[in-house]
Amino acid sequence: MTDAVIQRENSWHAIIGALNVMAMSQSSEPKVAEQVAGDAALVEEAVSGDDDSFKAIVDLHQSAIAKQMQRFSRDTAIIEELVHDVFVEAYVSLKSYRADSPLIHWLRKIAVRVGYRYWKRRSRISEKTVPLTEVESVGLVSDDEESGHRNACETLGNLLDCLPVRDRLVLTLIYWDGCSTAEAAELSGWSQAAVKVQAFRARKRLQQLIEESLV
Amino acid sequence: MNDFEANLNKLAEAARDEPAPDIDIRSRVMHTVAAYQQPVTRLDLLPIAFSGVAVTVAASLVFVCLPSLQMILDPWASYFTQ
Repeated sequence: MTDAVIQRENSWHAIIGALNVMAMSQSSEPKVAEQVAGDAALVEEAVSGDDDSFKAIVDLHQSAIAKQMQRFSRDTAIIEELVHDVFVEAYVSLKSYRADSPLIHWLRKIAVRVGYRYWKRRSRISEKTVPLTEVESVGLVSDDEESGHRNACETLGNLLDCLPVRDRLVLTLIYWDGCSTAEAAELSGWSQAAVKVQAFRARKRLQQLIEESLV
Repeated sequence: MNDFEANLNKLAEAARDEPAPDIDIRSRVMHTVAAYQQPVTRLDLLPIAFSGVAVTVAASLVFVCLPSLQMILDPWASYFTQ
């Protein structure tokens, strides 16, 4: 592809991005538009070699990304590793960020990809078997609210861990992250139909596994 | 919605509210990223071009001189074989 074509494509993306931002600012999402504009400025500075800007991006979003990566592992050391990988991957492809949605959405897409890759790698290394816990017996009731959340996380993590990687990803996005089908499709890079089918099968499989473990 | 899905939803809602782990990976990320910023050492083309030319010249010289060399040496070869 010639430079002129690339330049034309880039300018088209810039125009589409600007139109999206304008649409957002005219609608009831002025805050989102402001956020996108702020993100775009930070990214532009980071691309031009300003380390402080990229540091600011990491600082702003590392907590949200860490929360996202919690779905992929319960081990803090692994979460750290995954978050690190997400930001390094983001840095490498920073130029491909089109300022048509907040940066955190773009980072979450990368995070899902990194997490999914981690699961696939892990499933190749060892066929793990976590004993199934009864769904009814989840740690929802707890004296301490925080430990209740932690118990719920662990139980949900163990439950989903029994499933194949694709099933696990789709149920994690839909239930744990509370994504709609469209959002799950965007984050996973699958079509909406594929997400629906996968979710249906995954639910069935999980239900079957639980019923079998109760017999 | 059946019991299974209701329970799964309840569990997921509780799990969603868990606070994010307290981690700070800024310095680690910046350290890794610094490696990407190292200027790439570009190869000096002059020695490569020079050796390319030298090899080409040597090869063509051998090609040109080989028949004459054979012509000179062949009588000696026949002398020794007799």
